[in-house]
Amino acid sequence: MPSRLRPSGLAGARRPPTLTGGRPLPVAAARRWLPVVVLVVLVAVVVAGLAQGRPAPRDRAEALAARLRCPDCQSISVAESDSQTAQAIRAEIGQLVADGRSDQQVLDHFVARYGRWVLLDPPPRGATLLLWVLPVAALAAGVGVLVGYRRRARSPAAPRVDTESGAGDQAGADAEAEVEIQAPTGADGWGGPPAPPGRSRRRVLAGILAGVVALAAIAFGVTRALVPRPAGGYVTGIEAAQASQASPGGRDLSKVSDAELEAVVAANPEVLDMRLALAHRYFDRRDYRKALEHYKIVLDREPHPQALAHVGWITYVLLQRADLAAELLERSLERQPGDPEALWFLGIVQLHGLKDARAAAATFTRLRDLPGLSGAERRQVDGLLRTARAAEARR
Amino acid sequence: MTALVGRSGVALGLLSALLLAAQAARAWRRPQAAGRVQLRPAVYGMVAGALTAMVALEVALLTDDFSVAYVAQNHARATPLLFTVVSAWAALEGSIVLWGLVLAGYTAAVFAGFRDGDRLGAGALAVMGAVAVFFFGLMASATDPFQVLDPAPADGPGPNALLQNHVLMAFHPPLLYLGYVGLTVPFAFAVSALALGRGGAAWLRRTRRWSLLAWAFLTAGVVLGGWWSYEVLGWGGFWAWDPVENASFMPWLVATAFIHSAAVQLHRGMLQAWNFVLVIAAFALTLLGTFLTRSGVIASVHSFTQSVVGPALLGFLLLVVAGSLTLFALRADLVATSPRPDRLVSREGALLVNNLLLGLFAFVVLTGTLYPIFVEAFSGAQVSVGRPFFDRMAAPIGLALLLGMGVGPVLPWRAARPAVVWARLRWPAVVALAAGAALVLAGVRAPSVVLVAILAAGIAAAALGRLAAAVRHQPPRRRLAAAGRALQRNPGYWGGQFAHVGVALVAVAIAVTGALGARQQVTLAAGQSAVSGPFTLTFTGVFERDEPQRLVRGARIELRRGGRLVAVLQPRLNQYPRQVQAVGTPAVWTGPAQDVYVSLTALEPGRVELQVLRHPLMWLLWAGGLVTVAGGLWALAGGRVRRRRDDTVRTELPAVPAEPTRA
Repeated sequence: MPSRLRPSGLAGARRPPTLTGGRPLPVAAARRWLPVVVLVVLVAVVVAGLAQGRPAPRDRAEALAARLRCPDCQSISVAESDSQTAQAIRAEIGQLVADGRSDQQVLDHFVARYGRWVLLDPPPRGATLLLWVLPVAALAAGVGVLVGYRRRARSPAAPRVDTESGAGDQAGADAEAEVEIQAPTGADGWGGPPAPPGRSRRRVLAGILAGVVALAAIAFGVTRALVPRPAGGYVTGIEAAQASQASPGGRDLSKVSDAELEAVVAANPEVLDMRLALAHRYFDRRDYRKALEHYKIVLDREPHPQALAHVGWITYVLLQRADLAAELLERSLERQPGDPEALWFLGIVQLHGLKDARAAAATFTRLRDLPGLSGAERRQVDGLLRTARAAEARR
Repeated sequence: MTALVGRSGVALGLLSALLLAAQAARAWRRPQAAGRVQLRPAVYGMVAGALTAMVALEVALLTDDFSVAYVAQNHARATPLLFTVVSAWAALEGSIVLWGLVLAGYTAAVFAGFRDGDRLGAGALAVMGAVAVFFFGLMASATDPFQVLDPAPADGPGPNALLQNHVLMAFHPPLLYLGYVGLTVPFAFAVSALALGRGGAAWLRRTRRWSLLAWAFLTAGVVLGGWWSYEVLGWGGFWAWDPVENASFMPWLVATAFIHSAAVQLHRGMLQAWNFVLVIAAFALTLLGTFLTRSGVIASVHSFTQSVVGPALLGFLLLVVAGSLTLFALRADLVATSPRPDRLVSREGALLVNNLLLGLFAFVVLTGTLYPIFVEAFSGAQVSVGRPFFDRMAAPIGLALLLGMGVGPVLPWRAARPAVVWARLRWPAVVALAAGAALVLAGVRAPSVVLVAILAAGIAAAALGRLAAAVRHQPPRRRLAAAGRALQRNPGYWGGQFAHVGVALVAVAIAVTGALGARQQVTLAAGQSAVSGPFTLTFTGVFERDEPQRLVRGARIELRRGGRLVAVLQPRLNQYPRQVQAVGTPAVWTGPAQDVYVSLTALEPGRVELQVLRHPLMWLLWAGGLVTVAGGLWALAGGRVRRRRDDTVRTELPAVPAEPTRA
């Protein structure tokens, strides 16, 4: 390669004539020093450029947002998420920064609300100290092994082979290509006596033993981690949103087909349980029109709270009638005050449909204070609550 | 009926795997006892069983057979055809079936190279049979996809909303599995070699092709996973250090280290023991990844299901690790005797440093991924380890690796004299720094971008420099042809160089999008415009369509540059049954200089809230991934053009034109 990049005017310098009496030609010296000079100049340019144009420091609020976990997202930070909770938190960070709080105070503010879970950047103290120590220890150990590995190789018996013959411009520079493994099984013939087997074997055995102990600890830890979480529970994530939607009441999931149920319901128009089960099934499947038909019949006979709640939701989603939806949900709640599903729906309708952030915040507060919500559900509700409060503050 | 056929397939696969494990173990113990004839029915039975199970699952999905539990849980009548087909691996049970199928395929391919009396191959087939027993066993018990529901429901809920959004779902999981499962082959040969007490390079020669193939697939799978995340999830990034992403990245790191250290052993007879450790670790990490994603131990986008499969996978993982390490310990005296390098400044020294860095990288990712689980297990507290931690750890390691990619491949084996190093590196260094200086003079002042650009230019220049050195003695007009021949003569080395250039491109893209990207949040009323860099985005209206499986609402955004319309972007919100928050799909416009990425935050008639991102040189990331995969494939098959049947491994050396071809 070098010969191609070299300026053509210098190409003749390869075989220096001795007219000058053994002194290297100035051209040859220039050829030799050219890359050095160029390198020095280029390094100077790069360093000067970088030193001169310090990039603007990132916005403090943004940097803080990047260190906080978005509560209702998957593994991403508040800065990266466009979820409503993340937006609300970003607004709050901006407010706190504007109030003159320090970085640590802002982080502490959110830790107080969500727990340490919210810090994406684990601090090098307490439970997460080890996280910072381990990689450094591993690096040190690796470098140590590497250096020791090489040093012990320098036994006097091992012949030092220089396969390079002089300058890299020589054709024979690639003579290293001769090296090749011959024996298929084998490591013999590579110079150096084999290490005494006993010692190495003991060492390896000790290592394995340590590994097995570590593995047992891992197995123990993981099983412990699995136990306390309820079936279907999640630490976080999009599933949390779905999990909190999924039938808080626990629904009849009988294995009868739709058609059969329809037939039974048609034959027994007054058996409301069956009709409700069918309607719930359609509702779960977002088949809102079919669900609505059956809910209407149920409601004609009895103001069943769950039917009211679902009809309210259908009214909002399908007909975009937030006012009517809120009324139906309120009626459902009158009959069954602590129904989390109805509260959830009502809060959403108030927040997004009616644009009544104050009422939404009140509803979400009620929902949050209910006993029996899972951690993930509570976090969801907290997120919505903050969104509502932020919206309220904006107005 | 379909369920019955599927179950028969699983049963056939399980029996065949048992038979294979037993027969191959016999052939391994006494080569006279069993040979191709005895193993053939077992291998064919496994392939037939896995194929039957997969086809049955697809047929059940395509015929809306809701009596099959898997279909009832992951399919809806309204699901479009593509996503119906894809549903076969969208959830746990189906993905295990796919795993079994891929494993059966690899087993058949290994069997094709098996000859009577080949104890190494027989042992490997026995190990693969044993692994297959586990996966077919899962299909028959804990993750049975063919459970029958009676009476059958009339319809199902459909696949996970995020999984029916993009065509990449058809490619990303199968490619990833081809990579994951492919690592079983070198693992099986390694265990066989250990059991035989053969510490030499024979198993490496036999598995080189498979390791490279698995590595190439794994690379493609990881890159496509990033692309899917970018195109679907809507947060604007491609890599979040999510546990699921890490689960695919850790085996990749270790497999990459293995490919490099295998070259050292093939070349210099070193690192025998280390190669066994690496290949065991790579295989164990694929199992760990499957455990993390499929057990629900860390909730994540991919962990759709939780089932008894978690403990089963964990148990198998521990068995594999403990078993193979014990075997390794018993045979340590046979493998721990390899020679050591003379000098650290040499090709093998550089490869040792490479192994150190890649191993450290994998360790950091592993620690960060598992740490929250351990803290929760032992203290009950929940902590997060996220992007800031991983970025801070990955950046220095990544930069050191890039530097190594530039320097390592030009160093000669054994010992590199300073004069040689200088001769080979001075012009690449000039080119690299010239690139950096050009960037600085052009006004780019982000240190990360300049640094990565310097290293990337150095990698490319060093590789080109070696190629130029190989054709130097040819007359100029024959140099192109000579370069082609050099590439073919030494596909391992040049494939590696391609892959390095690909990784360098990926690094440039990551640095550029990270440092020079822009993100803004805008609210637009109908007809209003926002400006983002050289672009103007105008909100012209909303649209709504009722698709069978979902309600799609979206905004039309006209993207103009200098008054000229370049695209109409349609970011959407997909409302799936019973989800309060709709699932967004971003709109991405890819230009030569940058991507414009628009996702909807809120959508009302006459008003939208948008998140607008610009990612400079984003296409470079996918292109770099492609080049990396191409490098792997070149290393694998590039030499085929010249040599016909050649089982020995071509060692990784710079080509010398004058030298006759070695067989």
